[in-house]
Amino acid sequence: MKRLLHVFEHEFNLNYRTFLISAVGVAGLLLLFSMGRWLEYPRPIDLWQAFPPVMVLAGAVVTSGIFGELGTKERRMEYLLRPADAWEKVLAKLVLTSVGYWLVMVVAFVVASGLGALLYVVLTNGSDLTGSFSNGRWWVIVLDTLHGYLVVHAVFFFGSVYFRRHALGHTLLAIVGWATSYAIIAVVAVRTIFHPYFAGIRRLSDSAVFSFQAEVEDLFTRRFLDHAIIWQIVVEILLILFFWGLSWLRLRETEA
Amino acid sequence: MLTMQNVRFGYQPGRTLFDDLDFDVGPGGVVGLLGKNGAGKTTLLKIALGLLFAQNGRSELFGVDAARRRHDVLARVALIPEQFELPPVSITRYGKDWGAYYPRFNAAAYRDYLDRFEVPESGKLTQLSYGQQKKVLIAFALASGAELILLDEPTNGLDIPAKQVFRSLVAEAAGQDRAIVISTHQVRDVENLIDPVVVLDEGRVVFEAEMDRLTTAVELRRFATEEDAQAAGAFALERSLGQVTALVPTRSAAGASDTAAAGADAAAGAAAGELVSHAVDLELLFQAAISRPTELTAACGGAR
Repeated sequence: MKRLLHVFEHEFNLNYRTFLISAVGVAGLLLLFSMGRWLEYPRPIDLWQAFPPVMVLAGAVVTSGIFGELGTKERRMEYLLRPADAWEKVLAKLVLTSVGYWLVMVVAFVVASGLGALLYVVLTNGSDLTGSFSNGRWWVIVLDTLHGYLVVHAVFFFGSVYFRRHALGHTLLAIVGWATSYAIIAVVAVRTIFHPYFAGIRRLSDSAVFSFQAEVEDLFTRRFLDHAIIWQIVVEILLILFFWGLSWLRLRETEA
Repeated sequence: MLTMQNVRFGYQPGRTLFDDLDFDVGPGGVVGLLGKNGAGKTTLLKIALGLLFAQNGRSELFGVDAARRRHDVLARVALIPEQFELPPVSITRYGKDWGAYYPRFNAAAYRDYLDRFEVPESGKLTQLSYGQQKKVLIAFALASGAELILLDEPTNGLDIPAKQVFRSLVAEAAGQDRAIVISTHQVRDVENLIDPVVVLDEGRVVFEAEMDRLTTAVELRRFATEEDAQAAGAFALERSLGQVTALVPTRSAAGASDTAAAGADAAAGAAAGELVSHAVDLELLFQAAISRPTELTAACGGAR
């Protein structure tokens, strides 16, 4: 346990500058940009609407660089010979780039929002701070962002293990490549295989049988939609576990 | 500590670097692992640490398969690689963060060694020159408390005063419970430091002997001509300034082998040469171990 804690501390010491610079930089830039709008019309700053996309983008960048040590054989040797278990080293990187970086980002946004509210009062003599923290629902946005970010994190974490150099660019290219491939395959499949069946369905669309079928399908769809949030959570958890698991397996393969 | 038995390894299929390699390191001593460029010294160290895997045979560290790289085993081993890339942290932070992995790490000794190498503690590792970085690594490895320290070409990049400090630190650090392996082809830098000597060539250990055995079995003599040296049974020789310096069987021990005896007999009628030193010249020893391993081994009483 003591060693595991030290691995976390060590990993934090190696990465805290990157975390702080990126989080403070992003929150600071957003604050400055929002203050620029006061030239048109002074109003309270609400940074939290930008939190989800910013968190995902910055998180992807930071996560992509977390296995930079594996990029050169000299650093890789040092990493492999560091006296700790492989799972401890990976867990530390995983926790720090997922929940750890999310927390750093939240703190940066809270500070920037507080500073924004203070500057609004001081510089514009404004008194109505309603909306500064998304009407008090900033924490809902923060929590809602976490599960979405974890999926993105899992994908880019795998990318950082899989691609030894320029992991961010390679992962983005891979995502675009995969998405394009699947889209093309889907379109071709629909056009060549399923098209006749769609034509048949159109002919049946006026018949009573089809109406009955449509109702059944509709019922199924409604039931599915009623539980959509559960399905979403299940799919997200599976995706996260899949990519984290894949990262672990790939890392073990690399280490061997 | 380190046991390698019947190790076979090659980077490419069909081209083996090691075939049936045996190499053992026990506690105590500073093992000098000598070999030509490309002989496989670095590869041997990597296999020993589990960074490369033997294709056949076994490689164990403290009784555990090296390939597993277990944390408790790694905490007993320190490596200074020939090529390295240090993290962008301060020298002090490096000692704290990396030292915490080693239960016997001595922070005071780390500072002391840095001081003796004249490396300021305040600097950042990435701002140091290669030689300075190497000094930090040496200071860290010796202060780590590791029982087995593997040094790959440790004197590369060190200036002359630093080499002297290095030798004195290694001599101080070597103890009964600790083994230090120095892999190098710059044998002059580690002369009077290493014991035993292991010579690696063509994928196997061709010669291995302890220093006291070597000093009684061979000696350094100066001859007028190469023929005289050959007649005295020279294992290896060096020509310089019109003289020939040769590593020959000790006259008192010349009967240790048939070859040596024949040389000694022949020498009786020729100029016996002038004794230069009983201490072993490592360059000539290395040359002899590569060119005449069997005869040299026989002269040393069959060390290997």
